[in-house]
Amino acid sequence: MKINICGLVLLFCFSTVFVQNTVTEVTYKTILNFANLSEKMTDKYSKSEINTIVNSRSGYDAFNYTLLFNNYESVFWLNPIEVGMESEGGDNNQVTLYNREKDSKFYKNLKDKIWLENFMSSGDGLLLLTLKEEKVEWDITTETKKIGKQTCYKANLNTGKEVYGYSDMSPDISVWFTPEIAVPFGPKSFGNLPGLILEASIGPRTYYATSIKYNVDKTINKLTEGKPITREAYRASRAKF
Amino acid sequence: MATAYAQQITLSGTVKDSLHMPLEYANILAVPDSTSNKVRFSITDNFGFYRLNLESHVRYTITVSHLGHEPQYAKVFSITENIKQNFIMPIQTSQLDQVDIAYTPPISIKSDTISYRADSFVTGEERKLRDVLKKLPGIEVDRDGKVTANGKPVSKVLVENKTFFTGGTKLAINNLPADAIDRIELLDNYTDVAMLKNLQNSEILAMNIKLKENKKQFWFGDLEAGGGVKDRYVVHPTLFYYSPESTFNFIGDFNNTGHKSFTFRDYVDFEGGYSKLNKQSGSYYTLSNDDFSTYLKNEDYKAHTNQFGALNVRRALTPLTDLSAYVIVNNATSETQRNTTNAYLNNDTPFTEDRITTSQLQTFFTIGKITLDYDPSANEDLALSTVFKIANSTNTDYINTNSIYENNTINTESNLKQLFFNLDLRYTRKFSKNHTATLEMDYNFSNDKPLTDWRTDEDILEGLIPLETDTVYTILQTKKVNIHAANAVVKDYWVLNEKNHVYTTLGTQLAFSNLYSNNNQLLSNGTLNNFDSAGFGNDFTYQFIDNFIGMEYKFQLGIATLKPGIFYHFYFWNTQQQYDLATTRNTNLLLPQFNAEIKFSNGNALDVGYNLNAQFQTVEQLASRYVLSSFNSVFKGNEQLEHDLYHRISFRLSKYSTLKGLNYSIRAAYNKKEKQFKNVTQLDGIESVNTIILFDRPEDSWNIFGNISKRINRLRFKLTGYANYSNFYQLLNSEINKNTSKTVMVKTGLSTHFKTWPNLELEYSKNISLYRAIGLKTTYNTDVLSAALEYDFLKAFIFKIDYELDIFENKDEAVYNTFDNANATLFYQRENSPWGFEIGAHNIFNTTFRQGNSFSNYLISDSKTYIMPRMLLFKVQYKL
Repeated sequence: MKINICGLVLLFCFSTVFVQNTVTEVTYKTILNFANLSEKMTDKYSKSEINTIVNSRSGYDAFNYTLLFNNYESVFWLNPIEVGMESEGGDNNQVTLYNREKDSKFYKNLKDKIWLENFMSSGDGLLLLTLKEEKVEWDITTETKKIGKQTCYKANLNTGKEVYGYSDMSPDISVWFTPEIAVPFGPKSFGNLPGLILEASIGPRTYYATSIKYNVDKTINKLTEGKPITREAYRASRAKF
Repeated sequence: MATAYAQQITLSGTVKDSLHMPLEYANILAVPDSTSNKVRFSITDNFGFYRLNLESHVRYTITVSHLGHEPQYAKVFSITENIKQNFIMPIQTSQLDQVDIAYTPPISIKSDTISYRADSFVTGEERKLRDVLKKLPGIEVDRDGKVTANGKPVSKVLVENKTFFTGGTKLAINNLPADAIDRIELLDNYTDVAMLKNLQNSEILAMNIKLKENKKQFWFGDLEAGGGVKDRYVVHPTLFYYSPESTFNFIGDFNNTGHKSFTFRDYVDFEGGYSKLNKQSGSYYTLSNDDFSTYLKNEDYKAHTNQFGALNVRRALTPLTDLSAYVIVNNATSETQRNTTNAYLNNDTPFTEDRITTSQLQTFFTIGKITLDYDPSANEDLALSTVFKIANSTNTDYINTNSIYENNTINTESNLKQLFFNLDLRYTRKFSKNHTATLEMDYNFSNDKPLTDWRTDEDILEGLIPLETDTVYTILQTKKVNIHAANAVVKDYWVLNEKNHVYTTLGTQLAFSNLYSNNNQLLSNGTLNNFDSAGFGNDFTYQFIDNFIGMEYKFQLGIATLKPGIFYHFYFWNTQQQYDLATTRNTNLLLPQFNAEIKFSNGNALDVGYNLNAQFQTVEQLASRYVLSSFNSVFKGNEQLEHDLYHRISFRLSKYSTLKGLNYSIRAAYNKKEKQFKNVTQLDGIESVNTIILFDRPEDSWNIFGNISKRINRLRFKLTGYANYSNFYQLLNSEINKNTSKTVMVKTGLSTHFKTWPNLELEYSKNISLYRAIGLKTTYNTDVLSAALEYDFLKAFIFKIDYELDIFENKDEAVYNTFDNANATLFYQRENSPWGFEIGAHNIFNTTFRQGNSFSNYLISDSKTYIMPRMLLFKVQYKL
């Protein structure tokens, strides 16, 4: 009896510690995804646009994103890489693409109801956008597929309202999430689904998971850098200018 | 038969762990068996409680999951009753390993982006895209053609995925015919769609118009015609043709109002817009200073009639080749008058000359350019362009001069024939990720033939030209300048690593020129008196070769990017005058340079640069025998001229903040001249003999320019400041004097940006210039006040009025002048109507002339330039 109680207490302590502090790390990559794209496809795109697409695809190859999450908190960022300077004669796609995204970070805390985003504005430096909780009406379909070993469901967002920082004129957003990893998180600011998003597409840009590490020894840090401002205030100031 | 309503039933319960502790953040997913029903989900609260609304008569599979726990499943089905279902979730005991997902998403066929189908929103009365956009929810179009969607500005317009003409919204909004529009797509967060490479900011919205299948080719344009008081007329057609493969733009202007409808901005657009010009460094600067641009900016005529046509074509020849071409033809007749008071500053006997110059000018010119852009692959780029210019202008001047030295009237007839041709090739090749090279070659040919004929009844330029006594003196000058120039530069860009780049340059520049001149006096008896014996008459050749190599090293140090560079030039040149022996000279020169750029994270940018410069002169400055420059001056070149030499340090700081509505910039430059080209003048009365030498006493100058602008709600404030100091030597009548010039200018401005109220723009500037020459001090003070008002009222009227007052003062000479000018127009156009009417008054006060001053070597000039008299015009506009 005694041993049993001790065992039970130990198991209880161990389980709460285990459950509450477990941090999972997911790595994502990104690609630019166009239907039947070939270098000669000039009826739909001009040749300079095709060059941009072809070059951009290779620029994204080196990008890796990290998502850290536990039961109620998550943070997402682009892993730093050495890109160096812009070359005056050469191909600067990777430098340009990296500089655009390197400061973008996303943080969510469902318990304390805090949503934050880091964003590098042109002219005002790093901004810390405070966001409000969003009601997102995903259209979850019954379509499934396997990504790795996980069974995923497809969900679409036919934007008719402004959501996740995209205006209501954005292209289609569609994602694949797995209820087997039961957290409402995903790449960038996507989430609000009963499972982790392993693949997210916004128009032709797709983010997809490449590895999942359980119980990593890392902490999820709230975003603190940048000038605090709400997204509405920022948009209002830009509209006037 | 009663139809079954889809009834809602509730599924609720609690989720707990094996110790019966409630589990928060557990997911409950309800997937229906049939695809026609929606998937529902919910998350447990801190009591472990959840609630879902499901459809009755539908089978659902319930999955409950929670991080770190084993998932639970259930199946539910109900017809009328609510279901209560609780779950217990044991801990996941299996050790979870790292999972690597070898997965790449499949290339999926993306459906069209969210778009508006125009037909769903229009009523049929819409004429142009702006009328359609106004019907779309959330979209606003203002008077200027600016579009916003839910507060976000649309900055670019594409048609069928390609930029529409120059990409600006105004041209598209006001001209795309409504009946050709099928869909309107708004592309947000452009980085995700990645159509444009150069956008730095992802907060940009672009609009893409998809055209109806059978309406992909269309014409549009504007026809404007008008007439006015005292025989004024204006006819101004603007036509565009659009098709996905080619675009075509014609602008015509026939008027005698002195106003040019083809503006400098139109010229830049023909050249491919500002962005294309920026790629060819130096080209915008060249464009804004070439003689056609100067012609476009000039509005000071007493009378002016012109016929003008400009045509711009762009066509995709093959999927890899783009052709663009333009041709401009202009024929103008104008009359100008200028009254000048020249103060000659000889320290012996300063005196003034009053001069009245009236001219009649007849100009014809044609400019054309053809460019081919060939992009065979992502690694190669070839651009070929050719420019040609043909001009023929005839000028008749009557110059009346009065001073203690001379009282004379000279009649000048001149004819200038110009031919210019240029061929340019630019090839870029990417050899590898770390090596790109560009080859640039160009060839220029120019041939200028100015013929001048001076007629006067007084003996001029005594002692300088060997005139034979006659009743009327007719002096002829024939000149011909012929230049072939070629350039070739190869630049290699090496990326050693991310923080170190090396750029190497190898190049050559050649110029072969020839100047021929001949001066004669045509005597009344028909014979010619040649001036060769007095040192006139050139047959001069000048061949110049510059071979150079250079290297620049670009590296990153913290937030700064530094680029030191060094160039080494090997110069050879050859000169020959008539039958004299040819002389060959050569010299070598090392020219260092340095540039540093810092981009701060708060949006400030700092640029610092240094370079050592050297220039050689053109054949006109070297041709070593005399030519007549004008009725009162003679010039002889110097064939021994080498290059000048000067240091330049520059500095630039800029910042703009969207949040604060503030932007400012400061630019400063310092020039130190070690050797410079100087005119040497022998002045006798108003007549001068000039030549040019290389002078080696140092001169310096600096200037600083700053501006700041701040927006507060609907007001914008601007403050601009400028200061300049320079000192320079003057070589006059065998004396060397050091002169200084100081200028300070301050300008303040205020503009309003109301939507319904009238908008006002006010500007005031003060300019103080101090000249110190030959011991004399002169101060000029200019105040300019300008105001412009625009009032849009009753939805169809636009009233504009502008006023300018210039107050000009020279205290030392007790000169005080004011000049003011006002213009007003009233425009009427009902919305959706193609007809527009305008009535305007130009130069309301009927001001006769504009005042100005200038300063040269030994002369201070005050001039009155005559302008077009008051005009009242009535114009009718029709939009196709």
